[in-house]
Amino acid sequence: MKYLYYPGCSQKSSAISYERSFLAICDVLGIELIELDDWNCCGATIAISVNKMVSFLLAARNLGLANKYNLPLVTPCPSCYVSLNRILKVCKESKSQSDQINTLLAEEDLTFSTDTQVYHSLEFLVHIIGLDTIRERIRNPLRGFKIAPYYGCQLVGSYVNPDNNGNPQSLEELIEVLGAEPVKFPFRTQCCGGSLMFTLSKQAEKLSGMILQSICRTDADLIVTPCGLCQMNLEIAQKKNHGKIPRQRPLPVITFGQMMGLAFDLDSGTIGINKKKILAKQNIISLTN
Amino acid sequence: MKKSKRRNTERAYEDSGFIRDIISSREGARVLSCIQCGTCSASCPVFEVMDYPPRKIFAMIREGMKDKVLLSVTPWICASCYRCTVNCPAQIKITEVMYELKRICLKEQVISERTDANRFYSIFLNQIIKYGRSHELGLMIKFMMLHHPVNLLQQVPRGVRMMLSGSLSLFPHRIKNAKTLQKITDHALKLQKV
Ligand code: SF4
Ligand code: SF4
Repeated sequence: MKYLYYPGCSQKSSAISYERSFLAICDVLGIELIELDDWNCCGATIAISVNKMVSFLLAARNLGLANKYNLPLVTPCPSCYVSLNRILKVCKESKSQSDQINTLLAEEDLTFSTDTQVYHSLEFLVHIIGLDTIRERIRNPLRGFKIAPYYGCQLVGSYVNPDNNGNPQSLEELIEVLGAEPVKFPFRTQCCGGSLMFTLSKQAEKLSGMILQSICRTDADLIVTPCGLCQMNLEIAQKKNHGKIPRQRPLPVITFGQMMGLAFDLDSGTIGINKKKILAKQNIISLTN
Repeated sequence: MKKSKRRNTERAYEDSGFIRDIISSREGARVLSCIQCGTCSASCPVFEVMDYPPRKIFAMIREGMKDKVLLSVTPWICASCYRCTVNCPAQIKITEVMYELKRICLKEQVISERTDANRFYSIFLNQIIKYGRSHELGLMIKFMMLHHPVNLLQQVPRGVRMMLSGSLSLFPHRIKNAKTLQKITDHALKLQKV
């Protein structure tokens, strides 16, 4: 099983442990990921706020690079997932837009095809690879763990993915397959404020704080997320808000890749978290630094 | 009576080049279908720090109140979370309209004094155009030096910890074809000013 891999910038820096754990579990599952050669930043929510053509071009160049491989593309970053799918959607709707972008890309001998499939890593594992394949690899079921599935906003919120009606289930399904129990809380798909981290940091912390508070009212042992930015933002807010969180119960925030790594019994170094501490259900504020 | 009222409002739309610009874009095509239900404002996680919540912005767009809309801090506060877009009963791509408004602000150089997000955006985009990738540390330093040098000092211990754990690199990564990327983004900028 070969797939193309588009990491996105944060997976090479602040979310490096997310990338490591995702690559490690794909390896266990026998999935061969080929990193897209010379990929560039997708432009996130910023390029599109400044110049439409540049933002389309940034996203499309990656699809142009992908075209040579003729394989579906997988990205762990929800924001990249939105950018790449946006350009596919725009160009499917408008041939002239698509031609214009391809003319620009021709300078680098690239063309892109609107037929390219772009998956987010979570939907990829749960729906394309499938829960049965995942089940076979479990060595250390997470029995007794209560896990809060926190999706963040990009995956479910964007118009790219309207089928789920804002009520996604893939994290819950994954948690159950791994032997743990998903916990219900109201802010599953609420924005963590990640995009405001630089420009409106107080507000960003407030949003993350609200999500944390709502999780702390449940009996969750862990928070799991499919987004590197959410992971970082919740951790920062947790440190800063420490005293204000009900029951003073700091919770580890891990990515779904790290959660699967725990169940596959991979070692701490590979998945970038302190396994012992988590499995002992110790209250820890931060795992990454 | 009813009929003439409608005609008047239609004329009001036609009078405004602003509204024409917005509805002619892919994003804003449905703006006139807004029923002013307020679902967007109720969904918005940051409406309390906006000067006009999203519903009001749409009312103001309809009225052609260009200056007020462009001077509003709302689009710059928008967290691009798409929650309003998912919930809007009129299927207006609200988040995309917020992007569009920011682009018009930048093109016309009409930007609220209560935000510096525009500067952050330009630092970010310049970095991507130059290197092909974003570089968190460079971004943080450049932006904070501009406005919050003290905050930057407070971030140092955290930054050092992140660097040691390998999650913050000291130097930006430049993609192999950065030169060509720069060239084609230049072309793109010439093709479309916003
Ligand atoms: S939710 Fe949609 S229809 Fe309702 S006020 Fe907002 S933009 Fe208008
Ligand atoms: S996309 Fe922007 S305007 Fe809409 S709910 Fe989110 S923050 Fe508010």
